[in-house]
Amino acid sequence: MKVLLFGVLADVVGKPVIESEASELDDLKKNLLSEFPELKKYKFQFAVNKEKVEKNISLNAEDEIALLPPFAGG
Amino acid sequence: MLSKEEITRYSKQLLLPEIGKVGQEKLKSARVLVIGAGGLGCPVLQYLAAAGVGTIGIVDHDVVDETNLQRQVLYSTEDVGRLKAIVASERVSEMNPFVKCEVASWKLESLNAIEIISSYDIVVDCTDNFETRYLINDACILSNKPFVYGGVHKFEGQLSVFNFISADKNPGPTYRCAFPEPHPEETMLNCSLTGVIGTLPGIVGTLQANEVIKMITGIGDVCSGKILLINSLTLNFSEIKIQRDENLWCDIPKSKEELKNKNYFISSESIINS
Repeated sequence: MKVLLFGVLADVVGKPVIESEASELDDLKKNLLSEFPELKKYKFQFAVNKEKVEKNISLNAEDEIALLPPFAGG
Repeated sequence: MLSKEEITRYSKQLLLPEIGKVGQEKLKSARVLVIGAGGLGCPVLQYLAAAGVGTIGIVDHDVVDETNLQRQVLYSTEDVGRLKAIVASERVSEMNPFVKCEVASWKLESLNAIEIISSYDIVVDCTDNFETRYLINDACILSNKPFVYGGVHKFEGQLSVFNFISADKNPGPTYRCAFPEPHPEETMLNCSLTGVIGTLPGIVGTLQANEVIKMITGIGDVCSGKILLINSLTLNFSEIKIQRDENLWCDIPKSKEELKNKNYFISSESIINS
């Protein structure tokens, strides 16, 4: 599945889209943080299929995940 | 009542049946507070003033810096060193003498936030730091005011209307529903050092002004319950839906009095000084 990265998170990971095969959101988080430990420095939110989610949910290959940080700049 | 001069000035808006004379009079009697007169604040102030918002409050304690001029389009080279709130109010008055400007050239802080915000109908968050954004959010929740959030990072922007009360009286999500916690302290300074393309705050700020006009005149669909994500390089505009969730407001003061005593600014100042 596609994982979209916004703002500073795309800078950290080095690209705006990555692929993941995680079967649930918690696994995806764990994999991301171990592959890109610098992400731990930031607070960000997860959205699945354009809807913000607070809890662990199962994921399918066709889901679209987004990692969303707030933007301070103005 | 609109004067003859105002009817001529606003004729292109008066022609729109969605706005018309009733909408224009609503704009004239509206009071909008713009916090931050920087990249986002400049287009917000320009378009609200041009549209005929009757009273505009401007809060900014900063002075114009040469590095601002690439995107803060209200200011000229000779304004460098002058207080932004003062220069901005001069420009607004030159643009539209029918607009009354109320200027606060000092910092929005816990102690003054509720008092400043209370006399306005709508707040526009055009600030450049997380601390003030959480302060605006909490003060708007405690004062029952909607606020229009805009944020920019390099080539990307975000827009949402937070704490919006819909026609059926349901309050929409807040900034803390979208982003419950700020980045850890050490990361905040890094964020303030990233660059930004000059047109981006122009785009996001213009959309913020558009939301304000929609709310005042009661037309269209307000950008509440979602965050609009804008990428100025790909021209991709997408939305993320968010819900109001008061369980996420872990850190919000319970009363206006409690807000006055909360320090929103400890972290960044200690980092800047270190």
